Amino acid sequence: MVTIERDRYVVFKILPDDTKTEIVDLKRNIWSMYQRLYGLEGTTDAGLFFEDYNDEKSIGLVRCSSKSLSYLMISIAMITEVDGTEILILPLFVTGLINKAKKYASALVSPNHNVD
Amino acid sequence: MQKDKDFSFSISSSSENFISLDQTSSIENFCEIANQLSVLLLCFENVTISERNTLIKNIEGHPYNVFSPSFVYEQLKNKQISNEKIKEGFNKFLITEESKSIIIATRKTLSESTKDKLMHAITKNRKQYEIISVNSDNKDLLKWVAHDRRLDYISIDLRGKPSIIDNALCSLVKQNGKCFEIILSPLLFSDTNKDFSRIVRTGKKIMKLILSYNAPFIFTMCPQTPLQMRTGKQLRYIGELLGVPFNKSKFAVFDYQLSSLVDNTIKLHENYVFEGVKEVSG
Repeated sequence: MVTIERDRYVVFKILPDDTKTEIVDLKRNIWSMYQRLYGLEGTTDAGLFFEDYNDEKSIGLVRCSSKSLSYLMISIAMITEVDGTEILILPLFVTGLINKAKKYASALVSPNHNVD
Repeated sequence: MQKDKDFSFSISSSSENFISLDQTSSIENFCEIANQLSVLLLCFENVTISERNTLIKNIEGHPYNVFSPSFVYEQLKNKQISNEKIKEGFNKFLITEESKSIIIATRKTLSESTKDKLMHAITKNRKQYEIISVNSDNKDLLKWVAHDRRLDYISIDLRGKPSIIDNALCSLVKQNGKCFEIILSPLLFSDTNKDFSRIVRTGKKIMKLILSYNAPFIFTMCPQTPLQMRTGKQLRYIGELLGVPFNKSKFAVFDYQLSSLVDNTIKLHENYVFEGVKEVSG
């Protein structure tokens, strides 16, 4: 029987607001933290993929498999700094639909949007 | 806690129970980030009630409002009679959409090795802080702490020995409505992988015992800087590393903290005579 593995999309924001974090550094940190906690096999199963990232607003979108969502959340919560700068990665929204996630992320990025 | 079994707060709310202020960060910095993380209750270590009241007066012109627990209690005490209703009132006050409110409380952690020293420290600090917690390596002392009504939490350092927590202590904590306070920051700031695995191993042992007794526990990050704070959900996810299922830590990030704080605020109020009795004007 063929089983489809569902994906989850996590919209996240980096605090503080004025941090200029490069996506490359962020990717490296999340990957290495995930690998530290769950090993290479776990990282392979997670299917992490960075769909989108806005440098100016520091808002990004990452995809993972539905089974590894909690592992990704733990990895994100465990990250304290990127490239020597203290940061906090705040997951804002989790969904199973990419369009919904993109819509949410773009609403946050748009200048008229009030995050609160 | 047994007394609050039938009471539930909003799931998205959270609290940070153990903030140490240093030279680089101020209360305002913490409130700024807490506002973004929906952390509605902040407890500052080693800040007395009078110092806190002075600091709160200076915080103005922000998109959030900062209150002391006694201020909120003053608003509610005439409308609500029972403690449960007052707790509900606190929660409603905090989650009102119109005004973002943060409650700032004070706490003191007593690290004494003997009973006499601890009793002396309690007498000295009791009326100056809203929350009093104890951190000790002495097993017998912790058992005495579990009986004492003046103390709120037993702080557990994951870098310490797991053997200080045993079956008897878990049972006593549950019976007396106390809480274990699990400090999660060593997980984030471990130097090496070896150190990290040792902390996780200790944490798993302790949490297995606590969960087997259904003893109340709370999670805290013990942040030194505002960016070391985490949301309630993030704390619960980190707790999963210690073998605590996400659903079993629902009350560990806000409910027990608020409950203890409200109980102590009522006790510290001038109208309080003793448990269950208070002066009513008119």
